[in-house]
Amino acid sequence: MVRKETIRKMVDMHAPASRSSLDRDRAVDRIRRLTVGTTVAGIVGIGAFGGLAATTWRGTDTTVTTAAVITTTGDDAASGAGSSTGSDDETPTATDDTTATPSPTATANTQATTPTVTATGGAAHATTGSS
Amino acid sequence: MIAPAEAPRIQSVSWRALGTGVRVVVHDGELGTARAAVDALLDRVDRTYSRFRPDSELVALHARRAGFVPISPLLADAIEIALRAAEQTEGAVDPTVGRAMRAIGYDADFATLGARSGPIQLHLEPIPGWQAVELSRVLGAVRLRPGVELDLGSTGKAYAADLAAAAALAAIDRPGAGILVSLGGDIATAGNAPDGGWRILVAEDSEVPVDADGETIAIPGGAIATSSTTVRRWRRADRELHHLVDPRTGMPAISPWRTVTVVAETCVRANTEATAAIVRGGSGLERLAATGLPARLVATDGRVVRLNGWPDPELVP
Repeated sequence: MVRKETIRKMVDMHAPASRSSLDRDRAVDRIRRLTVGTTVAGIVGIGAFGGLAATTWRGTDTTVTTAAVITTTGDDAASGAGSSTGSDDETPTATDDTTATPSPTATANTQATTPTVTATGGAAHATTGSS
Repeated sequence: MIAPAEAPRIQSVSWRALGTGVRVVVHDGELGTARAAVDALLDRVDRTYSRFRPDSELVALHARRAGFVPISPLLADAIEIALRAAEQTEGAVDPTVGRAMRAIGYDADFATLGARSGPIQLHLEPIPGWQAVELSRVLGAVRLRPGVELDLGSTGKAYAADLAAAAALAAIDRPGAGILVSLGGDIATAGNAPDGGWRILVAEDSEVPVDADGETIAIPGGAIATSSTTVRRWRRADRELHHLVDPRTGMPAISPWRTVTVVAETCVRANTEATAAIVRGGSGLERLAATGLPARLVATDGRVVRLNGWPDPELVP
């Protein structure tokens, strides 16, 4: 003999059609939130890493960045800072953090050892000269 | 029975690319593989930053003027190296000489310049300067100030030599192998040198045959490059011109040195210092001496000065 309470439980187990639809909607909603959260976290991470990369490239001398984006007109052409031959309508007045300019700290090749040179005879493997 | 070890072989091949002579020397490795790797690399370089190919990325960049323009990683690297060279030499080697180069008539592959002989209008005008270039590695983009045209020829060829040597060695993929790549006399090496080092004939013209008489040195690795006002010369009417532009004037440099050869850890560094020594004129010798890099300078009167451990040819063993 089956008790009424047990029958109710069995009915609950077999007829939750409306609830399962609700649950599915909630699950989809949860997945969306997770996806959006992960995306936002990813973008923030990329931004942070990018900022770090830009800062590292620029080195410690932040004035270099400024120098690289301001048009200068003067006699000191030897320093490469001669007057621009173009118009000034696009001359930037400020720089953003992502603008990278060459920096002495970015120079890795000066750390390497300079090869020694010896005098030799015989046929060469190659010729150095201008082309 | 154990087979005798195969003796290391040295093989070489020469051809033309980028408007100049290319030579690849392989020590104990597969020459065909090395050549294919160098060829592929040079083709990429040509399509990316040739000033004379209408379909190159650099030419397309010059056609776009507004804001930051996205560029390929290779072009970004080449521009970064050129800007770094400009900063290190305080503007003596500057990539913004592109317009000045055109103004003095160097506006096509050098082989075609000889056919032109008409007069040319020359203006003394400082170049825009490397500060007119903004490179963003984060954006993968560059912004040029209006009127700026880049010529990556100086550091660009040397960078291509460095890249080609590394690419060929990687392609060979054999322990103990070594590679030498010469692009018009800009020479980079990678891997193991043959016994006694890489032997280099030092000349003013890179087309001089390797078995010609002359000063020969040996380097265990690294790179060597030569800049000279004697080879890429052309005449327009009564004017004799050459390709080393002085950024202060936008005109061919006037220097007491006609040819400078430098040994360094990379071909970019060697080429940069050699070119800077000529462009700097009177102060070139002192500044080059301060770098500590072995160097050989030839004055316009033929006098030779050797610096920083560059051996005297009389010391040949």
